[in-house]
Amino acid sequence: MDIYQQIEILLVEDNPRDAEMTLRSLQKHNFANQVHWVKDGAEALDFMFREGGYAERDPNHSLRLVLLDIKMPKVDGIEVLRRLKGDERTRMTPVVIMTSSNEERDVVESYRLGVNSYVVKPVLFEALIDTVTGLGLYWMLANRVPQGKA
Amino acid sequence: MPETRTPPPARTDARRASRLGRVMLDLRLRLVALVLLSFGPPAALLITSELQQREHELGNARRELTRAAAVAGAEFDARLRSAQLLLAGLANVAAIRSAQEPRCSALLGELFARGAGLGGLFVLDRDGRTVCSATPGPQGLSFADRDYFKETVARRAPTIGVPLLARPHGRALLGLGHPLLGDAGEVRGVLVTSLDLAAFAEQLAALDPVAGAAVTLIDARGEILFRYPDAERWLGQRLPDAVLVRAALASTRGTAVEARGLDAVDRVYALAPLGAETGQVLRLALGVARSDIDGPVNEIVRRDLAAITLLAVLTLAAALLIAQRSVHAPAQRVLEVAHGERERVQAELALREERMQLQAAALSAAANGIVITDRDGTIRWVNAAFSRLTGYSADEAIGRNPRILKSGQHDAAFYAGLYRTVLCGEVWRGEMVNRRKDGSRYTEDQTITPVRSDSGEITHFIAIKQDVSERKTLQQQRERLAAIVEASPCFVATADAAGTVRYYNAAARRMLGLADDADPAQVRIADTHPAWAAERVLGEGIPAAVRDGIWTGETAFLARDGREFPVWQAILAHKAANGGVEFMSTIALDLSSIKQAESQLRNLNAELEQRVAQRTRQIETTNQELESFSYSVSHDLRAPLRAVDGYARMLEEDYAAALDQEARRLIAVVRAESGRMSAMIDDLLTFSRTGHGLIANGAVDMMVAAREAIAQTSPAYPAACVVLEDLPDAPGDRMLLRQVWVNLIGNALKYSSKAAAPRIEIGGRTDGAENRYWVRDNGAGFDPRYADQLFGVFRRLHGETEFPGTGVGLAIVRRVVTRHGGRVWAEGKPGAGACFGFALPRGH
Repeated sequence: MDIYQQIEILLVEDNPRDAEMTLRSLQKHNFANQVHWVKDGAEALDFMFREGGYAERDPNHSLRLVLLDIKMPKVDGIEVLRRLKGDERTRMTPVVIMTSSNEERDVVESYRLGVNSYVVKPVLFEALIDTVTGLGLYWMLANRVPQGKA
Repeated sequence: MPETRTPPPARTDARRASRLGRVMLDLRLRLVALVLLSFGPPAALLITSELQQREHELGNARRELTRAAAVAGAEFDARLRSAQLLLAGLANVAAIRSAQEPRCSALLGELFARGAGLGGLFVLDRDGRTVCSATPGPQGLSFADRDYFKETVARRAPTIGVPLLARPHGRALLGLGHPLLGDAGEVRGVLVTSLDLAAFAEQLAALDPVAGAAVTLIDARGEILFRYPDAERWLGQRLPDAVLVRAALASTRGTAVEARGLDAVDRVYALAPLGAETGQVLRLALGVARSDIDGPVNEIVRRDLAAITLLAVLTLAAALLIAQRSVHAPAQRVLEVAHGERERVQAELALREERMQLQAAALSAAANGIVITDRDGTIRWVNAAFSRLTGYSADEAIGRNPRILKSGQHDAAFYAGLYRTVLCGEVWRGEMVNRRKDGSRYTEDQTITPVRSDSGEITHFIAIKQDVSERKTLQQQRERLAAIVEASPCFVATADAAGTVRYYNAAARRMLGLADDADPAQVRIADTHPAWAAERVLGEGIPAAVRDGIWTGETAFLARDGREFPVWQAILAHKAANGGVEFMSTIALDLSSIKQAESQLRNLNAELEQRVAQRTRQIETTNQELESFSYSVSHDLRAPLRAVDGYARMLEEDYAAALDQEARRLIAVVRAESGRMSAMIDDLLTFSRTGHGLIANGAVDMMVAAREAIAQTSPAYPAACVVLEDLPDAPGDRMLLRQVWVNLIGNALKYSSKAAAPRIEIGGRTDGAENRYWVRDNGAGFDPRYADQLFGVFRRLHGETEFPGTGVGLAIVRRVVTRHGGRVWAEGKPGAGACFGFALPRGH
């Protein structure tokens, strides 16, 4: 039995404070059980492409959303984004960049690579919910909640 | 001045020569006439003699021809007679009479073979048919139609026929018949023969006396029976009207005439009748051409005349030669001497007169003033230049004493010395200052020459005056210029056309290390220039100066100590009016110090550039560091701040019930401050970004930029009234300038938000080289004493509680404007509003 079967959201965040606050925010919206948190880009890629410790993951299972920080050790968020959007298997998975960087070049580069949304952190919670709603994912995610609960 | 003028010498010579020539020609003509006259009689004699000779020759020819014709006539008669005798003899031979063959033919044949000149020998019957013949011929040849046959039969007597041309061979024959009578005296037959007239004539033509003559036989009707030469042309023609034919027919006995032949050649003809005894009318004409008779005589005449002419010419030439030697030349010499003497006297007179006129004209027209006085000093004559010089006209001067010109400048001893000199007969020369009629003074250079009569007595003085005032001035100017040149710090030298240096000024002598009294002529270009510079001066500078008048370039000189110093040198070629170079000069400027300064400047520049490059690298490094610093701040500095805020919020949410009001207030402060710090970090990042990176340089529509800024900032202040005037465009970075408007308008809105009726006025205009823009409000204003601090980072004149803000907005404005090459300013009073402005250069 694949332990990741019910995972809907992948959170990629190296800062534990930010991660805790994000998870807490998602928890408030009953997404907490469906979120898997990885601490850097390399692990995020392992997860997405079922490599390393995630080799056993069900190949037929796909994620609903990836929340991606930019500034991370090893492989940064921009590189992860490039890999995900450049691969047939993961190209259709929605990716939202969450970052404290408001640098023009990061924004431009992210959209160029096909990011679905770009959220600046200080207004994390409200902005994130707005974004998810805007992307049409909210109800999809939310709808799954009763099922998961059930 | 008399108008008679002596002709120029060249014309005199020509006239004299022509007169002499006429005399000589006359002499020669007379001589020639004399010589020709002397040759007249011999020539006439010769011609007469020749004419007689010709007459004689003609007579001879006539006689000889006549004799020949007579002989021919006699010969012809003899042949005719012998033919008749032959026929008569044969008629008595029985065999012939009976025509007994073959005896008859054999006999005839034998006779025919022996008898020359017979055309044939036949025995005919009574009907004219051939019975026997001397030559085998066609039997039955009939002579029935021949006149001599018929007549012989009729008359029963021997008959001679009419000469005729026998066809077809064309030979003239004369037929003869002799009757063969029977015993009863009846005609039984006829014996016939013929004389070959052509053969006769041919033999005649071959005879000596008439060799080359024309031989013609003519019958009574005028028919040509024989003609030698050109027989074919004339034979058988009947020409009774031809001159020769008529003459021949008219003559009945031997005679000689001059007549024109059938072929139109004039000949002397001898005419003779042939066979006259027999009653025949046959004429013989022997003709010799006149040219053959006269030709030799004419030749002799021509030869003699040529000889006599040659003799005459030679005699003439000899006579002329002798005359030239012994008569002409002496005569010509005598004439020439006579002529030459007369003309020489004339020429000398003319020359003397001309010289006097020229002298008078020269004196009058001379540029120098000339005065002639008598021994007493009374002026007798002055020229125009004197009047111009002194202002006294000739009328005014003549009769007066030169002392009218005295200026008082010279003492009595000066004049005494002058008089003493001239009265001794010596020439006095000197400068004196005189006074003109109008009182002005001038300096003149004067020469006074005494004039002596033939007896040696001094009669007059001639004074020649030259105004040297101008020359003096020029000389002074020249001296001043020379002093300037001498004192010039530039090297100045002049040289003559041959390249010999004539002058060095003081600077030149100093530079070259020459003594002041050194002879410049001893210095050569090779001594004063290093080799390369001498080559440049000689190979390029001087030729270019000669061609263009001036050349300039950089060369170098050598000082006495061998040190080479660089100069800027100009070479000038001073040319005469005809374009030839009279002398050269050169001006040179020592470039040592300039070169040194240049070199230092170059070094400094290089050093500076190096420093700039180094500094640029440092700045670039700094910029990069700054950028990465900004990035770090953006991410890392905010992360803990976010945690402070987030965890404070978590505390608030999770333990709301456990906290009292004061605890909640404290948490609220923590969260507010962390929020403010977050805003400050954002502004600081913005400020940092405006400080570096490229700025665009397009034309920015400031109206659009300001409208966008208003749209962005004004919604939070609905009460404010914003007035936007026309703004000029500005060159610059659109995004940055828009940020300027956002910050200024945002500030104005914020600080006027507490006014009763907030009003913002935005304006701009072009002012000279810059565009000025401003934003005025009626808000809180500020204390102008702190106006300078307004544009500093984090500098605020109002408390956070009064007007929230980070204190970075105006700093950003100033940085953007400054980076555009512009400036900012602020005006205001507390409570009376503020005006913030900036100016941008138009050409940025």
